[in-house]
Amino acid sequence: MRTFLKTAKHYWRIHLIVALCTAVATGVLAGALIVGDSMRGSLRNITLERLGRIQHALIADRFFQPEIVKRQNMVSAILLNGTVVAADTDFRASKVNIYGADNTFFDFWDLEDVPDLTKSPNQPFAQIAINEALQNELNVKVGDAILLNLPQATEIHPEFLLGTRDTDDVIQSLRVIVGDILPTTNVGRFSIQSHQSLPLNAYISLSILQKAIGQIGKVNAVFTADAEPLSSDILEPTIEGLGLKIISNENNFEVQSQQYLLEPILSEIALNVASENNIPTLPTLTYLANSVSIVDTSQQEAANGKSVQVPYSTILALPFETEDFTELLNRSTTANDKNLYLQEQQKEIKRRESRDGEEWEKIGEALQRIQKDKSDIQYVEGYKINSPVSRKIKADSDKALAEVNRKLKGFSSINPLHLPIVLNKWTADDLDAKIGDRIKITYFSVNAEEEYITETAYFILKAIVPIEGIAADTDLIPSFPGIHDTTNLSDWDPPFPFDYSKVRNKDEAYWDEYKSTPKAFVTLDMGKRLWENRFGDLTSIRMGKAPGMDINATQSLFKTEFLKRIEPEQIGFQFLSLQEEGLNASTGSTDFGMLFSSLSIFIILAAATLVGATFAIGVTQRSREIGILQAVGYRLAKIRRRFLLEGILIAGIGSLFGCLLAIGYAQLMIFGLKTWWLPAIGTPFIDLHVGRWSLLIGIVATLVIVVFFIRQVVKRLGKAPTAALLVGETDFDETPRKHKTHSTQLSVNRNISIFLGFVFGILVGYFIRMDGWYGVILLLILPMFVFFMFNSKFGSFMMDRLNPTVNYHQDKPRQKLQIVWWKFALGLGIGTITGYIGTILILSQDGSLIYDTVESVVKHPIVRLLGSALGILATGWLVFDKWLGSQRVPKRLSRMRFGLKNAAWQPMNSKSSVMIMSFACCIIVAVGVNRHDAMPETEYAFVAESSLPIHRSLNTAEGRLELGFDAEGSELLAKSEIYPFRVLPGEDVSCLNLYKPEKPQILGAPDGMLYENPWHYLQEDSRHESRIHAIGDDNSLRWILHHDPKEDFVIQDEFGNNLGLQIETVSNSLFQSQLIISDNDFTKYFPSQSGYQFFLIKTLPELQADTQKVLEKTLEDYGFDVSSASERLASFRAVENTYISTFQSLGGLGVLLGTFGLALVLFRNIIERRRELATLRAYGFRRKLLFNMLILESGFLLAVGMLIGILAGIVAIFGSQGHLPSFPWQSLTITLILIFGFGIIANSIAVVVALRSPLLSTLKSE
Amino acid sequence: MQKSGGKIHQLNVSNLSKDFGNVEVLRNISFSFSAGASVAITGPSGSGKSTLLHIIGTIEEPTKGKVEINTTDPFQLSEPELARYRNSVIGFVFQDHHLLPQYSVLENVLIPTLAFKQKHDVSTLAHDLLKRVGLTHRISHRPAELSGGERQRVAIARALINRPSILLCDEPTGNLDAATAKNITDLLFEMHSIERNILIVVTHNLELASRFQNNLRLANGTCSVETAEDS
Repeated sequence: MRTFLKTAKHYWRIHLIVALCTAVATGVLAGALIVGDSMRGSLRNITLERLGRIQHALIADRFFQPEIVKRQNMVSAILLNGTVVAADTDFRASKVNIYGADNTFFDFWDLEDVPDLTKSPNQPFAQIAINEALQNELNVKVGDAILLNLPQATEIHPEFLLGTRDTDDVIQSLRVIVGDILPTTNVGRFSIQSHQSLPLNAYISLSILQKAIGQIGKVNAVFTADAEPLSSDILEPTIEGLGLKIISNENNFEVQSQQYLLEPILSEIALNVASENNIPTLPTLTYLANSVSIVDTSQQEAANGKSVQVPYSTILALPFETEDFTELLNRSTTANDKNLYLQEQQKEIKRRESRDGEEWEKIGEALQRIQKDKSDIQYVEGYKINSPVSRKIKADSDKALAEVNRKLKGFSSINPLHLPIVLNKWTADDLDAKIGDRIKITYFSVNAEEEYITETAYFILKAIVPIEGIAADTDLIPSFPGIHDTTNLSDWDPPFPFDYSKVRNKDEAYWDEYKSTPKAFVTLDMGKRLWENRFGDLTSIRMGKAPGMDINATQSLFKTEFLKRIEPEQIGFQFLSLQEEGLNASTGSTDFGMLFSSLSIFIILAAATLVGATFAIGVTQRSREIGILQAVGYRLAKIRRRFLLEGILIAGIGSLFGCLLAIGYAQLMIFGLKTWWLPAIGTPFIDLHVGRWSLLIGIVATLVIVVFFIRQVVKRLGKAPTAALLVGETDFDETPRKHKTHSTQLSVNRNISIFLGFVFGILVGYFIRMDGWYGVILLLILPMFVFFMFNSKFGSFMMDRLNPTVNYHQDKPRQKLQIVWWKFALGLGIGTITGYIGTILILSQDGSLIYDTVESVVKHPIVRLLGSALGILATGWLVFDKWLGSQRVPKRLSRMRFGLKNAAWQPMNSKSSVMIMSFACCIIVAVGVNRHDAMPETEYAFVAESSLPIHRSLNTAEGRLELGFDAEGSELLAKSEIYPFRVLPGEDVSCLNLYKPEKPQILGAPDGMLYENPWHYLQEDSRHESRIHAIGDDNSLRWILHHDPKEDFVIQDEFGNNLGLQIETVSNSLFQSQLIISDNDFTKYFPSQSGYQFFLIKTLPELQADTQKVLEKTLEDYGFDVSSASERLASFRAVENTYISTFQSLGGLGVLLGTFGLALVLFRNIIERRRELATLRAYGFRRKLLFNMLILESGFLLAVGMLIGILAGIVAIFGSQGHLPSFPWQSLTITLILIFGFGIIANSIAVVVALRSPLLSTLKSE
Repeated sequence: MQKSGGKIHQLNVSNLSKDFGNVEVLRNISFSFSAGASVAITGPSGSGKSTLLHIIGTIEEPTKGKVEINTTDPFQLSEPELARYRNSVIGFVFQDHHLLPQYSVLENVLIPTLAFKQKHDVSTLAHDLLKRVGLTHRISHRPAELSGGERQRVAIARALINRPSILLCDEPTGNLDAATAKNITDLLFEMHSIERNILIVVTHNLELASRFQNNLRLANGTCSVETAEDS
């Protein structure tokens, strides 16, 4: 230690630099890791802050009585999403979290002032507390009035025939007074979603909200601070809580839904329970027909002045084999009726078969055309994959195929059981119908655009039954909202279009006498086929007595067993461990520690290089000391150990000091993230969090790196002889490159010829196999070129340049050339055969594991990028090395060559400099080229989102009228194409969300988009149960969800079942925040989600401003926000660009530090060459000339390195992307000029300092 | 006066002193030589032989006194002028040849010509010099591939490439065996007889010194000049 202290004191300058450089490396590495700590810590803090003491939650997509939750210490609340408008200023905010809560909810946080949400007696309106973020949006203060637009809770799904979809029906407005402004901390930040951005929150009294939305006593969420997780055990669902009702009759009971249709899962469970307990069941489906009429006779009937159609009739679909109904049929029909029906049935079947035959023909023709188009694609693709022609043909044929598939879906075999219809006597009399007549029924259905479509179905009249027994049983008919309780038919107020003019007196009379008694009966099978939808296929299940039980006991048994079977997850209840999931998500989608470590890697490496270079200078200065130690008998190993220990001690001290720098560096980076690089995190929320492990890892990792560099220096000790060291020669003088003999050189050339020939041969073989003529042409051209090269003056000149030590035209030139030539030809031949066979065996086996692996590896952008970059770098380094190795006798020695030759003399130093600079520049260029400064272009003008779902089509005049657009606005929108998407709420999976998302937002893409690439993929059948096709952004999947796109991404459907998403990826799309499935799949797996909340809008540039204005103004109650699609894309790119900027800033800093390292290397180099320089001085070289020569030498290395790097960077990007993205010439050129300039300045300083020492004195030997 | 390379050669040293701190190495030394003179500087170790040589070669400045070469006091020149002066007037041959290892024999010989732009064809001259020192066959070799004697021959050729007025040799045979040393000495005299410049050689070797016209003996900081006619 004493020796160390003395040495340290003597060489304190060098040791200080070593320690400082180590401190910088530690500071940067540990600092970068601390940025990661800070990110995680800040996200964690936000999570803890927003959740307070809430541990678990039960969230439901329906309202329920909180009493069904059998757990103490639960706090109930209502969570809604809506829009808020300042009453005075009309300022508005959408996507506002509206919470209905009472005071117990605020107990989850330690609040000094709990907001008072009770209604003041003097105030006609309820009070609301809003957070500061919302206040800023609305620009309101306490006492101001605001309007809440809330989704109206309805029993019947808005998209069902009987659901209401008008704005007034789906949006509930509530005027409230701002009573409190909450800071955006604690409860003011509450959200069940993990996101770093500030939520817009509004809190209103639970009871007031319940009343406003018509859900008195009900909630849709409960929270608890208890540590014990919530599970399905705590729920005791009730029949009413499930939205069901049981209607008791004398001998049976009906299970019906308050939503009209029984939810499929509930009806399935009910039927299973009944079956298991031998309870007889009668499932029925009731629908409303717009008209019932007789086909073909209507003209005649009209002429006779008789009724041609019966309007608005209830039709009951039931199993005809039901005992009561069979008995009624038998009673009402004779054998003759049955025969007549069978005859007509056969005629109808023939008629339909004839019609179907024509349809089949059309489909066959369409399929043939598609087949031809497909073969055209193959033909076209054989020459040029993805040519515009092939893309066009493919898109057209895909569209045609989709149309055929659509037709095939609507095409089904003729089932005789679907044909019969039974009319009650009143209706049959009204129509003057007789057995065997063709009966036409028209009814409404709701299409994907939520429009009412009139559909038609044809039947054969099988029987006419009296209105008695089951045919008169109205208990089977559930209540039609707006219909059931009316006195007169003309008083009906249904949600669908109702033509009062069609209601006749006799219809009123029927209503008066029979109410909703069905006028017609079809089989349940047919009823389901016509009227089932995603909301259900039954309206009622009648249950009889179980064997040996009376009806009450049976009902009781059914209820008990039925409720036992209900799994809450199947009916939309979610048990969330909010705290645990939130904290887990706060580990972040991106590891900022690793990110900043990577971004800072140049600084770390540069600092470590500086350590190595400085330490080497120190050792150089102590050459005599090493010589003396060796002379007095120290073993070399001991001397090395001594120097190594010294280095470790100095680096250790530097590392400890680096901990302080780390905190400073992290603070700087955090400041950067809050200011310059804000787009990377969106919100300046990040605070400093110092992790002990980060410091420790920083110290250890830096020490490992630095000690490695020091060890590299120490390992070189002892190369110079002791005597040389004693006279002051340094230990690092490089051994000059040995001359290769002519024969060795020639032998190398021959071997290279074989190798090159082989490589070219493989390529030729590949091209022959894959591309036919290209390969043959290449096979002919390549040898001709080589022949020319070896047999022309130009070839000799090139060979002379490449291999200066071989004089190819000396003595027996032809012999030597021919050997090289034949070796090349041999290699080419072997390579061609190998390439051809290899292509057949491996690459042509499309679909094989090897093929897939090779293809996926070769086509992977990262592989192509790295391959191209390393290929060019390696080529550049090889060429440079070749140049270094060229030691020709000059015809004329110039100052320029003199300087450059110096660079060649110490190849290791020169190569290291070139490699470092080229590598750094390659990365800077490759990263910089990826920067997208230009505003991205997209075919869509706007992306729009609405807080509340929209149920009307924006693409039809009727839909726009319903939504409140005036004629002018509607006309304007008619010139736009609007694609509405359904939305399943979830987390943002784009790079804009720093939390680790688990449940992505899902969009349902409209059918209208599915005919184009890549959307048609969503229409293709995945051919697997519980597995559907989806589209997702490649970057979001890989880097945010950390999911391999080749694997299925598993989500849960509405019923709690796993659903695998087989994902096709897109890049740089507008859909980086979501995953997309087809509308069809969306409604199948998430049937209760209603309406559209995400929109893509195409419009003409000149109409954009007006379109945006009209949409936002008219749909303001929906919270319709329209934003530029380009800007949306730009916001995603901004994150990428910011990372690139950060990298460029830190990378640039690292490269600048690196140039210092190179300058130090140069400085050491000059010291080592001082005798040489002194000799030059003795021969009259001025200092300035020496300076110029040395700068030329280092500048040359700098320029070569940078040129190789720039070329490699550009080629790498071209290789991976197939084109050069928008190239940021300006910023990149400035960066590179700065690097070069700084390098020259640093080198100049090194040269000036080094030349300042008296060189000539080194020539004195005495 | 003799001519060599078109230049007139005259070296005048008067009252030259040099001290290193308290140690006075040279004291009031004066001498004068003309073109064609050959001078051996002898004396015990530490007597200031190399220092005197370096002062004449303008590598080191004297503490006192004056050095005039061809009527020019080089120490009054500016740095660029001194460099040009050194380049054109003085040729050095060191004990350790100080050849640049990265360059070939020819390149090493040509190095002094790079310091300033040359009007004449130095390449021919270099080839000629190498021919004269007998190294035509080694023209493209590097110093590491040469023997000690060959290296010193290259150093001599290099020293003569600019046809200097004064050729200064600092123990040119100090690291060589007797036979090689004799060859080098012969070569030096041969070249000197051709170039007719002032040849000054520092040596310990009295036998070698005896072959020079003038023997400048240094002892205790003073010098005595013996000429062949004197002895």
